[in-house]
Amino acid sequence: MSVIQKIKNLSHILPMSVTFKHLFKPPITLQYPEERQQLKQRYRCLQRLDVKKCISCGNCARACPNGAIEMKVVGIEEKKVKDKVVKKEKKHPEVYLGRCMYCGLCVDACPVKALTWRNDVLELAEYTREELFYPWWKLAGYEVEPAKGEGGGGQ
Amino acid sequence: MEEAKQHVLEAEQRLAQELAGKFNASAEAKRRHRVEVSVERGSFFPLMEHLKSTGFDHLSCITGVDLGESLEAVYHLWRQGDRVLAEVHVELPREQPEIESVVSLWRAADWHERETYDMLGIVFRGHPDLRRILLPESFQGYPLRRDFKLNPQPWYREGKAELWETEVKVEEGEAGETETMVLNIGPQHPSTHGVCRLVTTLSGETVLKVDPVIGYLHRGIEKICENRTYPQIVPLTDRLDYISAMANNWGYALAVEELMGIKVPERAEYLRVILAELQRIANHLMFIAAFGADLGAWTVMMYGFREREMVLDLMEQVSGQRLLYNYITIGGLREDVPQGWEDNVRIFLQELPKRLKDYKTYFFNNEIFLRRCRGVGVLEPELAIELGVTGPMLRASGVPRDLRRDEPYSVYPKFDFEVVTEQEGDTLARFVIRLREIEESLRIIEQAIDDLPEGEVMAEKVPKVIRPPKGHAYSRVESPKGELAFYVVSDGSPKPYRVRIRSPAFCNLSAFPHYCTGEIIPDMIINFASVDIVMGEIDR
Amino acid sequence: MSELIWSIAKALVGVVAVILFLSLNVLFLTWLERKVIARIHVRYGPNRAGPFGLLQPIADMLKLLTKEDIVPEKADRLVFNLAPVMAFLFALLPAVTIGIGSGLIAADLPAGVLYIAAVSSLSTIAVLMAAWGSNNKYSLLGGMRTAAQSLSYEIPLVLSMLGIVAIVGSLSTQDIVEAQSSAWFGIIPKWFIFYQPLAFIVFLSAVVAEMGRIPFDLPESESELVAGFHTEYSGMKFAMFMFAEYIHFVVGSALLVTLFLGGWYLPVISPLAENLGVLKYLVQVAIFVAKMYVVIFFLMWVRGTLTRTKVNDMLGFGWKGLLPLALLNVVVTGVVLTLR
Repeated sequence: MSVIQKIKNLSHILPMSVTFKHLFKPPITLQYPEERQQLKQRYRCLQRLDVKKCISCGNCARACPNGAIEMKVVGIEEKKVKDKVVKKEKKHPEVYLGRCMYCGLCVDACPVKALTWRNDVLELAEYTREELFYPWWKLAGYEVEPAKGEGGGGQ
Repeated sequence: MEEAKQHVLEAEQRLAQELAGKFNASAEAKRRHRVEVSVERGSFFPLMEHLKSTGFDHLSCITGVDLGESLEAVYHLWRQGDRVLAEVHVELPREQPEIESVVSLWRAADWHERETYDMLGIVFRGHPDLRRILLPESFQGYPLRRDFKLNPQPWYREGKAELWETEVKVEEGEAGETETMVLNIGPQHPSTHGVCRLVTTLSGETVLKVDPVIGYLHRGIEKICENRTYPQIVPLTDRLDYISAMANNWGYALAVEELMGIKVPERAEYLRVILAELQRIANHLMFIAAFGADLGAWTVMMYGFREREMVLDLMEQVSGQRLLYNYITIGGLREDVPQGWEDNVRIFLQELPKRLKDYKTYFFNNEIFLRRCRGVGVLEPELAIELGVTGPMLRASGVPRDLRRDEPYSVYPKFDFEVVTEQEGDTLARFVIRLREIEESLRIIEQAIDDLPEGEVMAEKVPKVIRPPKGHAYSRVESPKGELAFYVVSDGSPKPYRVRIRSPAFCNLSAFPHYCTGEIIPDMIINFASVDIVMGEIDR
Repeated sequence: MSELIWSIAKALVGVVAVILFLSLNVLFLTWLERKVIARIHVRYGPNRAGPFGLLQPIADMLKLLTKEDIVPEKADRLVFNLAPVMAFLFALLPAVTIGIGSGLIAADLPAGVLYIAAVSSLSTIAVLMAAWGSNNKYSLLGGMRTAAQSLSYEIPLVLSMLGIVAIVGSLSTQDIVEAQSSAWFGIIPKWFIFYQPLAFIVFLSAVVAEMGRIPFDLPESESELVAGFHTEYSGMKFAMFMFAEYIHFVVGSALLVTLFLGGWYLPVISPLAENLGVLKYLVQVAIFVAKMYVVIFFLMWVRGTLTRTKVNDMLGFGWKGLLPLALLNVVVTGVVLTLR
């Protein structure tokens, strides 16, 4: 290494110029909570259930590696199948976020795309573990549990 | 293409014929780069000696499998000359699972054998120090055996743990008595490398011996894999090397696709290559950031993370998560990339070289940094190969081995890239090589994005319930840290029988104690930082 | 008798003024450092506590006051408790002979520079007391390294001041600044940085090492292995060490300005301000403080950029690099002065 290069290295003038340049760049920090991050379209955070589309197949619960989804029976519906009245249980998924690892296998497994991702919420922390348990009506967007028969889903 | 295949299979056939007669072994050339050998326990060691003498200098992995009535040890050896991987199976009786240790032939076997002993109870005769590695010394039982029941009673030992008290030994030296001190650079590090404990024996400030103690992050992923279906394991593999998750997904998907015989469509292959190279860039940027932080320049850490954000942004658009993607799955990709993603990648390709120029200006004109890293922790090439080191660490010592060129998978043969090597093998070389690898990755991504074909991203006949036929597959990928390999054994059911993960950081860390003696403590810390470990894949 | 009372009163006022000046600057510096480093890191720095985060030092003080004071069980209590106090005291001592205006000095000792050189090495005692009293082998290791660093860089520090003393012919800091208070052509000031560039470089490196800042960062955060001599301290005692460190910072910068950058003299403005009466002193203080902050900003910029040196590199640089340069400077100055 030549003498000039050695002196240049020893004086550290070039690294200092790099940091000096950065002194005038705008900061990249996001001032949370005033500014929030824009989540991308496919962001995986909390599931959303479309009760009109759910066919109670239970694929989501089977697909989950951690057992975070359970199917809850919300009613019994009667259907006419070939002149016989068949009673079928109507089930909806309930998610325990404490076990969910946001892998997306449940959303992929749903054959009718009733279970999707919400990409608008990021603050999912709660004070107690019980609040992390999302019953089906919370996933569907209701504030309180609807009475039996009301708004409980299509078909 | 057919001729090349034919030619290369000849090498495998030749090897199979060569071994067939001798050593009571039966050998078969399974596919390109794979020869499967089964041998009796009695003639096992002569066979291994023969293999070592004919050029198999790289021990990739040692696996133990519980076959029910017997245990099996599987060895994977690689010969760089004609690119052949020999898979040696030895069956051991369950009552007395003992076999000769191959540490005298390949020093890389040291930690692999300790782990196989730890998990399955196979005893390796002649091993210098056979003790548990991932589980504590007082653990009872061998977890990966099929009949293992977790003891509901707590198994921790009462009293003092070993190696907590500093042992001061007084030795007779030439100038009177010298003392050596055992210092615990404990699981909680000031530097950001995860929970790894280095038990160092010091004489003054000089390091005499380093013994890494791992297992603080052991989650039993290999055991969990035996209870999950094949698609459910993909998010689990994310959590191995959590800094570069795409590579883990890919390695596992390759193994299962080989078992099932699935052919992945071309668009998916190109996208996989792009994502893996983006992941390599993100990983190396994180390395640079952590390296700077270890040296005391927190500015570099901030800049490194700012660049990494750009890559994570791209990954978030594609898969929905920033760190643990679960995107490259069996048969292709989970869904196609969104509209406009390719334009974003092109913008990134324009932007990053400018920032890299800043890094080079910062680091290579910095006398203090150069003095600190030059000549520290020199790793000789022969020692590196013997110790099982792979990846940038091996290439920094001048050995040009790269799985993307030696055992090409996916569409890598279509791209023009060079295998970057450095000659000195010291910490500075390991740093420079990663900067140069970022540039090579940028070249590959540019070529791939230009040629990206249209089409499907998921193979056609992937069943909903994946049930591979009986068999086993060993797939290797070049992850940013080295050679990442998955050995998957299937018994025809939807859940795998055994999944073994060969992680590059595990082998690189096992090599670390052998070449860092004689240095002072600050040098050893920088040396440790240049190995680029992630505890998630070391401990699994 | 009244002379005695008058001089005691003057001394007391001077000491109180020095402590006030230093404390205000230190409080401001804790905020400034975080902001400057943050801007180099392309982020904001404290901006929540008060406008622009200006109340952050107050918040820090309150936090440290309310922390629990932990003393390790087997620590040497007397030494352990005394160390922060001594650190604070010894950091304050050199400040009394540094003046911020002509006559605005707490004690204009005729042997000012000699006093500073003597007293600035006392702070090593406080570090060693802290290291020993903690009963922690990491603290001891860190403290020994700090002591080695302080010792190694004392000698170039003192030697680089010799050239200036030879030129001025006096050891008093006021005289040194007076000697720089003129300009060529009325514009280019006759500061000693132009007369003694080699000494300036040596002094700058040595004073950064004495302060314990990056690149000679071993005392503060040898975070690779040991956490330094103040590992075991918490609460107000830790605050004392931090205070002492920032006082070193301010005093070192003030000394640099006094010796090499002309103190309170600026070529065009100072002659104009001579006629303003009492305002003259205000202008002098303003100029001095401005120059001091230029130096402080430069040192913060260095902190944001460079990495830490290794122990043997640091010692080698001190003994094999700076010491010969300082001696060379003394010889050359001597030769030039004799030939004049």
